[in-house]
Amino acid sequence: MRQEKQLDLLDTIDLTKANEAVLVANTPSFLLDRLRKDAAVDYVSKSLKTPEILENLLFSVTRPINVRDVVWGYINLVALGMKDPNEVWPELNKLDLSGLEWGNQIRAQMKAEAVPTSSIDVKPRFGAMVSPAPAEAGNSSLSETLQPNPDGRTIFT
Amino acid sequence: MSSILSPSGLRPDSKIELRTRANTPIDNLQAWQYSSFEWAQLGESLKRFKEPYAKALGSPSPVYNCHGLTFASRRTAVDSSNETVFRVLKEDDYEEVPQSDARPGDVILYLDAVGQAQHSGIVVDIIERGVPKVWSKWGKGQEFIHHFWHCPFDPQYTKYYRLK
Repeated sequence: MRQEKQLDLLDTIDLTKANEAVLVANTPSFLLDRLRKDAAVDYVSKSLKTPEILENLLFSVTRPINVRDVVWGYINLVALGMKDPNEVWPELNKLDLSGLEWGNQIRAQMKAEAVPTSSIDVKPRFGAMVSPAPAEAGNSSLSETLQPNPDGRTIFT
Repeated sequence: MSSILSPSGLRPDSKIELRTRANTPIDNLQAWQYSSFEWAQLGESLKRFKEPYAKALGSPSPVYNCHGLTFASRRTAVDSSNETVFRVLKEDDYEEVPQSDARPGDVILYLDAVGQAQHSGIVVDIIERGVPKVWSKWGKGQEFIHHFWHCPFDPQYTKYYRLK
């Protein structure tokens, strides 16, 4: 089933630029940059769900039969960078990507550049922070929570 | 010895002894895992680079890369990290020259926007309007003679080096 869907997808997308990128790349940063701009990667990320892309990637890194499997592996790896990081990283962190020459390095670079897509509301610890009144040194409730740090700037604690 | 196949039936990758003039070891890798035939299939993707601006020479080879052509006589793929590339330039006694002064025999280095070396080659000619013509190997692909700007690498940040 997985392979049928993969073959359908491979018939649909143009791999010329991805093939070129993998063929000519000398560094992982070059390959990542080129694949991020590749329509094939964009198409995969929009057409497949995260578990499907992870499954494709796993197949490519554990059982690459030919160079096209390698290209397909890189496409799926970079496509994961366009998915929800909360869904991707717990699983992607577990994979051994050494089957792709630069798999581990590209994953590290993607991780370093990943942008959070969710936020956490943090409640202030003291009333002065939500007061419209300007914070002054004489404000006793605030002055208790303001401390100079070693390089001279004021920090909240 | 190096042609013994691994249990998977593939020839394992290998390294050779390679050093700078100052005797510092240079990290390198000879990739044998997939055949030249397989890489040649991907080589079809390079058809957009054609004459008169680029001319392909020979077939793709995974065994050496651009730095392997520029600095190691096609024997192996030289590590592409900045640390290695700039160490070779320094210890082999190269000095930077402006593009306007480039001449055959100089090394051209392609960098990205953050200064990471992405490609290298050798200047073989200076044609009309001072455009350098370059001999270089494109990753695991084939060698090309090409105008310095007509290749898969960004020509915006190029530097030229000459042996002192």
